[in-house]
Amino acid sequence: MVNRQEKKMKRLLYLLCFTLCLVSCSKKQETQEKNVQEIRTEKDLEGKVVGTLTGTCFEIDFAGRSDFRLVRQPTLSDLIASLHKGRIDAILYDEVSLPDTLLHRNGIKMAFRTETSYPCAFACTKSNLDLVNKFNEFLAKLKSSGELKEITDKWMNATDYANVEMPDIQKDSLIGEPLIVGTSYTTAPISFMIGDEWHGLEIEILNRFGEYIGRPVQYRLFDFAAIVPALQSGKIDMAGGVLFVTEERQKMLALTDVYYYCYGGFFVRDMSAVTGGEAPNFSDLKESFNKHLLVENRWVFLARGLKVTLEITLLSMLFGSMLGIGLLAMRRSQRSWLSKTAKAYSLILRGIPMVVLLMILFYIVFIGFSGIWVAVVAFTMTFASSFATTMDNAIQAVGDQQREAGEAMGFSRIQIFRYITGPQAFKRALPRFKSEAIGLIKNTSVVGYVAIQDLTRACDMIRARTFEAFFPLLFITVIYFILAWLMGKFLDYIFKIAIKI
Amino acid sequence: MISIKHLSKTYINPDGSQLEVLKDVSCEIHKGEVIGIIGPSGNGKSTLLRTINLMTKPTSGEIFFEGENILAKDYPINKLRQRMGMVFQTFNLFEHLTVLENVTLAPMKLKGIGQAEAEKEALAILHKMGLDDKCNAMPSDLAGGQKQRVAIARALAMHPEVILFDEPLSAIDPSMAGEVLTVIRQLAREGVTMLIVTHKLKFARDVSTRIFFMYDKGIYEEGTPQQIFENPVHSATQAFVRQIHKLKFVIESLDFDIVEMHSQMLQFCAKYNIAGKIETIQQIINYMVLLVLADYLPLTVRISYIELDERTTIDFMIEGLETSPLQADDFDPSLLDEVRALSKDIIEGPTKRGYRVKVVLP
Repeated sequence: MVNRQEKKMKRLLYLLCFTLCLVSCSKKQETQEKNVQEIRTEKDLEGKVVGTLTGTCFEIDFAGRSDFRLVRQPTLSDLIASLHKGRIDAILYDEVSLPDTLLHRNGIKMAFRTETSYPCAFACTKSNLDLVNKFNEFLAKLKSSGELKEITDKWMNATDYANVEMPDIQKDSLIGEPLIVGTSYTTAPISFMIGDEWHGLEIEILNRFGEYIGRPVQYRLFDFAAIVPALQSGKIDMAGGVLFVTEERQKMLALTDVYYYCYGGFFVRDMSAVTGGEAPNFSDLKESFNKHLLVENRWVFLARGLKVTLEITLLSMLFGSMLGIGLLAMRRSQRSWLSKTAKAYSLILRGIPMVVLLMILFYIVFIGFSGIWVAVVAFTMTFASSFATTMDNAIQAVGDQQREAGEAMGFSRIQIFRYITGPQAFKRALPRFKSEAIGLIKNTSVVGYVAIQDLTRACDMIRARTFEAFFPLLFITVIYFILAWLMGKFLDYIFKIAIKI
Repeated sequence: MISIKHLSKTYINPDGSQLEVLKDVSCEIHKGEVIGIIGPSGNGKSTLLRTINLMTKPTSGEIFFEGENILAKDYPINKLRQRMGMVFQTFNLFEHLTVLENVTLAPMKLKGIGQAEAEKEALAILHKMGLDDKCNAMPSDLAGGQKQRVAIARALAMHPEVILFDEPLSAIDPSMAGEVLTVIRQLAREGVTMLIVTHKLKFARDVSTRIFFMYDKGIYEEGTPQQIFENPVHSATQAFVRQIHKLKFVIESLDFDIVEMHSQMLQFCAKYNIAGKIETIQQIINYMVLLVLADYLPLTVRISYIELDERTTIDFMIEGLETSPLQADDFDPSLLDEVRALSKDIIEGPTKRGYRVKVVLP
């Protein structure tokens, strides 16, 4: 007993050491200040690396530039983290989504803005011109009454976004079919979340529009690059998130009237600022904890993300095992076309990356189904395949001799599996099965691609508000670790029971 | 009880070529008979045995069990197999179950007998097999002979009307084969109907009531052990039952390649299942060549193994010599003491080629 406890303590100690190493490494990196000349004008960009968001207009407008190199990243928080780490020298982004207060807090400042401004609009599919016309009608009213300017100024001049008042809309009175809007933005003041609630300039405009047409508005979060496919596949009715009006989009989509003109800005590190972008410091652990988890109830993101991750994992395991048993029966069937079909299924699935499978199912096969169910289907498919393959191999490893003995004694094929080969195969497959299940938990972190807010996406959302990578990532690392550990224990327990039966 | 008519079996190899193993085989097996199935490898002994419980499906022909055609389409094969026991060369015990559980599994799951009753009966059978103290052991903890006795107990627990033995002794160390032989002999005395495929001619002769000699894709000759082993009709049968395996070396001088000779002897003994005698053989040859007959080189050494009697002899031939080297004036008889201790008999005498000393192993 004492020995076991000692072992446990030792393990914990190792874990602690590992974490400390990680922290000290990241500290070291942060303190390696690059002695660079500050960027003030476009000329200073010569030979520099500029980061921008994947799928934005900037990406197209500035891609051919010979004076600097453009790199793409999926989220703003990634861009800010890269800027602090010195991987990029400047960020090219909408001016509007990086207001002064936020910049100051993160030790970033705007060097200069782009020469041209970009008109922003919402988008629908061409088949939904009705909705566009209604919105334009609504926007014209808002403009003429001066409300649009009022709303815009309110959000643009705010310092504490959490306290900006949102219009009080009686959602219960809206009985129409929900209007589903996709956005890629989780940055103030455009659109962001406080706990469960969406806030921001775009959100306010859309909520008011919803009230105008009598439909409650629901929001879905996508990667910026996935917004247009989501619109085209009918997952959403309307796309927002500072969509610039471009020729290409006008050709493909039906765009509303412009509600805002936005400049692009080149953002760089503010060498004089000392506050933002600092290395994680354990002395203000409490403050960090506060900032990342308690303020604006941000822990709710993690809790919901955890729930979603667990839902997908457990449901996929359950259905995957059931489907897997079916596949196993097919693989071991004496009819060769059945076993060949099952083997081909596993072979094909093995060759498709999880993200690709997920997107194929979401955008092509199961149009109109919620992301979580699509994810459960995708993970069920892969889990079933690996379950069947693992068990099949394990049964083969048990060997033909015992199967033959069972057959000669007059057991049926099912009885042989139930009493003779099955229990032994399960025992052999356990380690492999465990690593598959843990792999499943970890693999669910890609579901963000189909607009599901799982644990990893929850971390992204917190990062999008705090612009710090270290603590949110540490939190979910710990959570994933604990999940994997619990999963191992859970399976051990299940097998203990299963083998007794 | 079992009646086989015009049975043929052709295997189709993975490369598409065909291999005919049984061709138009017919025979009758009656209750209480013990059939020994012998013959050279590759003549369908195991195939014939395995068609009886349909572990191998014949290509054509008919098999009747208690008057019913078991090859009929809706014949319940699993029910048939529950009435026939089978014992394999490789034991095929259920590795995840204890000895007792191996024996009780089929009665409990297939006959629906309660655990207490099944265990009570299993213990009685295991007692008969001399395995009382191994009831709770796992198969992996047992030696070959013990494993095979568990396999026999497992078959007996279903009260089979016939037991099929597929080379039950081939995978067992010769020193432990005796315990399995004893058990099978006991079953034979109790009147259990058995079909036994074996390479052990002596065992087949002792235990069987009738012998099938399988050769040329069928039962080449059948009869009582006495007929088959002592007065076989066909020359092929005669050649098989009287076969003698031989290994010969010529030793020119004392610096002959002893390592090469030993490795050949090892192969020889392994091939004919007499690995247990290798040490004795080596010692006798070493004493004879290096001490007793060292002055009479070159000489020829021949190891012979007679399958039917399971008798091993070693001949030492000194060419051109007419008188006994063991009776010579300057021979020290005490040199032979060690050899005498190791052997059953030493026979000597002159032949046409020269003088021969024959050592017979126990």
